[in-house]
Amino acid sequence: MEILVCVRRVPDTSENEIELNSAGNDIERDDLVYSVNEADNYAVEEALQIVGKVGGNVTVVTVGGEDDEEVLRREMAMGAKRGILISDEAFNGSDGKGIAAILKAYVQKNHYDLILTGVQAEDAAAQVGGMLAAMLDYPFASLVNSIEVVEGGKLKIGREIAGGNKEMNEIDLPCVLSIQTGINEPRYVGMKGIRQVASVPIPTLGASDLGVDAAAVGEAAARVKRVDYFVPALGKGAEILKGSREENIDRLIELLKAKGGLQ
Amino acid sequence: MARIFAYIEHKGGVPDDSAMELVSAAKTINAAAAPTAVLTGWGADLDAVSTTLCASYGEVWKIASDALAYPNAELVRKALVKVIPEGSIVLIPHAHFGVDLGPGLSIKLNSPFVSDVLGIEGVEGGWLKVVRQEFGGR
Repeated sequence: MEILVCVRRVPDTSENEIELNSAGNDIERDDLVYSVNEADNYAVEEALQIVGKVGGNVTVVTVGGEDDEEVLRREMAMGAKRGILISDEAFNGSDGKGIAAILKAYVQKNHYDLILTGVQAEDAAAQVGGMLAAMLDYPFASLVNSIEVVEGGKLKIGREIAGGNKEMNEIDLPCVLSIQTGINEPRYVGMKGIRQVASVPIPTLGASDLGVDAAAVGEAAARVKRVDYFVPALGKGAEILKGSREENIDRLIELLKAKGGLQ
Repeated sequence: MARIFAYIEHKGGVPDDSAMELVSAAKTINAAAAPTAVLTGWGADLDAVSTTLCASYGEVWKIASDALAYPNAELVRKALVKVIPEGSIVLIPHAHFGVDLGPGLSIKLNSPFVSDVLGIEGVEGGWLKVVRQEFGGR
């Protein structure tokens, strides 16, 4: 099975304090530590496990700049056979639809049975997978937390739905799935693995390579634009009840009554 | 002003709580709007939800089919694309079904898409201004 995993390099929120820049129109990006988006890493692990069972190859792709190559190499160190960097000045400022259109152009020039994305990037909108699927007219499922390859060009997938319940579906290949964190346990990537792929060539593809109309992507074509960035005002903090269980129950009832939650 | 639709999730003949939040969201976009509820499903449950919604929505459109008895975003999207006019604003609850439905629907309706909206500031110069969070609100 040929699997494409779309990955993204994002600020690592476990390593950074996210702060506004002085202009107030973005986060302060100087000195940020970046890493692969967590859900994308789970998607790569899932792809590797699938090809481990049924054969095939995993390709990782990202739309970005030179710096984004590092996450491709990290995922190649995990076991992805190929990394593809899609980069062009014309792509800068693309909204979700623009990114999906760029990825669609890449997919149409290749052959993939399965396309995985992380369910959401921390600084994004859980949109590219579903848009890409619609553009390709492939079936799509989000929040996938289990995948089993079954006979007849299908997958049996589990999805997390409301109330902590799980929904099982069969889905035809080729398809696009967005992967939920926790679907597996991503393997450790050591320095040795990173060094082994350090010199593996990563092709860089631009608008002309993909046949993308530069006017249809990028900032000028974006129909969703960020106009402001702010830190929300802090609300009142939570009150931690610190008594015995009985005392806490009594206090909770008092609070609920005071707020109108209990008559 | 674009017509506003709200996709209503429901279960057991009862609309999801988000149905009322979507009415409020529609009024924030356009105070004069009489938003249209659109819901899919089958049977008596669908009829019961439609009746309930009539008290809160200007119009209620129900798309009834036994194929839609259990919500499947692929099928629902195809149904919605057939009835919702291009250029409309469609409000969808940001739950698992909305995550499945919204992005693809926006492509098929040729509409911009914003997910996980926490606030709506209104329309300015033909742009709808909304608030969403990044980095988990950090």
